[in-house]
Amino acid sequence: MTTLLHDPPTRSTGTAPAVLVQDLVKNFGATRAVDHVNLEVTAGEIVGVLGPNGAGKTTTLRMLATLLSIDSGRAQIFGVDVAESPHVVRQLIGVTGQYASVDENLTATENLRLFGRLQGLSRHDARATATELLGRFGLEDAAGRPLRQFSGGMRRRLDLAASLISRPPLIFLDEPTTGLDPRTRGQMWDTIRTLVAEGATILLTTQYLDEADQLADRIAVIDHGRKVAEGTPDQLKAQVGSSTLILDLAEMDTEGRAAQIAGRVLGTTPFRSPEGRRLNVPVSDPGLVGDVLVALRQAAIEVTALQVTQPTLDEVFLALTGRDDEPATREEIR
Amino acid sequence: MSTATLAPVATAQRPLAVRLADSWAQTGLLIQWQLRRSAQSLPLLVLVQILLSVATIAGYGLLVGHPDHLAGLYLATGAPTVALITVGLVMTPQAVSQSRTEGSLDWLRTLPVPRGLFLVADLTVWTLIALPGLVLGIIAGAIRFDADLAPTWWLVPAALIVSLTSAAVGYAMASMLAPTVAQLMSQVLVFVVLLFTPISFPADRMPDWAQNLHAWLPLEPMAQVIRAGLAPHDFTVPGRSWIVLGVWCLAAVVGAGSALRKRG
Repeated sequence: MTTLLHDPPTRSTGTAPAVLVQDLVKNFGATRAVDHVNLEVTAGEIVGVLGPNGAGKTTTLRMLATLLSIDSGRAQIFGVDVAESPHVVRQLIGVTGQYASVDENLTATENLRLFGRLQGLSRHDARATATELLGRFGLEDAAGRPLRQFSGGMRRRLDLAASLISRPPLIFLDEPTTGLDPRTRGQMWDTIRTLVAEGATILLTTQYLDEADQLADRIAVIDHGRKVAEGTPDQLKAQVGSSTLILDLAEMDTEGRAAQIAGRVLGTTPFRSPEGRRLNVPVSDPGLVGDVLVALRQAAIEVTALQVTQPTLDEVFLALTGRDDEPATREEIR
Repeated sequence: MSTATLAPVATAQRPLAVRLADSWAQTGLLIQWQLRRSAQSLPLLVLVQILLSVATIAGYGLLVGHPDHLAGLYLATGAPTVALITVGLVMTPQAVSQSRTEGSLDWLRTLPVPRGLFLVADLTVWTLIALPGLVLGIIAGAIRFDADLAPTWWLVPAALIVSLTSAAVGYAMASMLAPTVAQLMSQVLVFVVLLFTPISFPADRMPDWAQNLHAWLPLEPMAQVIRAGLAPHDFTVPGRSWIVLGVWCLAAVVGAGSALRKRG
């Protein structure tokens, strides 16, 4: 099976990271959109840039993709300076943006073949690569149909395929699943995982916490143009510091008493899970979980299932930025 | 974790002949892409251009009845000039603004394709779209106003300069202004070009301030070169007009190229 990625480039420049960003700044008038951001992506990694709308993540990506000028700081792609050699950088990157890159009047095959030819592939190679990509992305049956007949998910997959036509060693994905339904999001995630498994380096922006959690080796959290945290998902979760005890109760009318008991034993404030029927109790000391169960049994409160989980990225995000990116789902029980 | 140890050969290190061949091929592909993506609307666009050109002649005829020889020449040569300028100043910015709004222009700008080639490809496509209307407008004008036209050999390069200048101005306008503002500006320009520019009438009919203004704008020289190219026995192009048009052409191409290369 051939790889979707570029053959090794041809001239040695040492051991440059795939992306190196130092003190990157971008202003729009009086507004500082990106404020001294530093970031390093090693080849073969998938790094997620996570932040709410307007945090500066797309602006950062657009600077790296040579679409925006850099006001100050430095950015390099595989050791090539973005400001000094944008044309060389464009040979090293594939970009899938938030908007359609492909043309809806052409068929999927025509789009990919034309873009392949534009990027220097021979007629034969462009045809072969287009066929291979359409197969990889599950679009072979729709290859001859005009894009206006495609669903949103199919278009987005073709967008991604178009950014891979020249087999770039670095792929920028700007909110690749925004606006997609859950099933199509899952398909996109599978596609991205396949790329990573084949050795792609991916820099991904997203406002979905679960997306970053699912896909990224490392996550940089950006808020108000500043990088407020960086690490693996587990490292970021560890910053929040506590696990959560999740209790499934047999009788929901025991919820109030159960919350009181668990809160008293663990010294924290329980809250109801978004889907109901579950009681979530922050745990600072996992050794006390057994005490909670004993206390509940003594109070004749039946527990049907329990689990102790690490904090979610939602909690990390809330702790780092001081706000919840998604609509509030917590309901404290007092 | 592994690290990248290699980088591509920089474009500047490739031989000039190879780069030129690549640019030529890429321009052809961009033209092909533009033509194929607008394949469905292409006949309509050509038809609109023909109608615009021929209808302008018909409209002029209704307005002035049976003009004298000189006025007839102005009208017969003015209509195709208006059609040619309209393509560059109006249709080009509208197409670029649409691409910006859709996001496809941004995506194209991430490809390793010299950005000036986008301008060349767009210009070629829009000139091809304008060509049938231009030719039919000239024929309609000659018939309607009984104008004795004798196109010269240099009309083709002159028309290309007019087309290039107006398309480059339109391109720069669409690249630098917000898409909605650019589209609005293009509509205002149609009005100005059609009614308040000495293209289909002599400049001395305009107030002094307007004549002085047009002495520095490219529109009157554009009209003069097309007029003299179509009716060389009746009109000549003042040397100053060639200079003004040349300067505008150069500035517009440099401006459009700069706008295309500009990064936010």
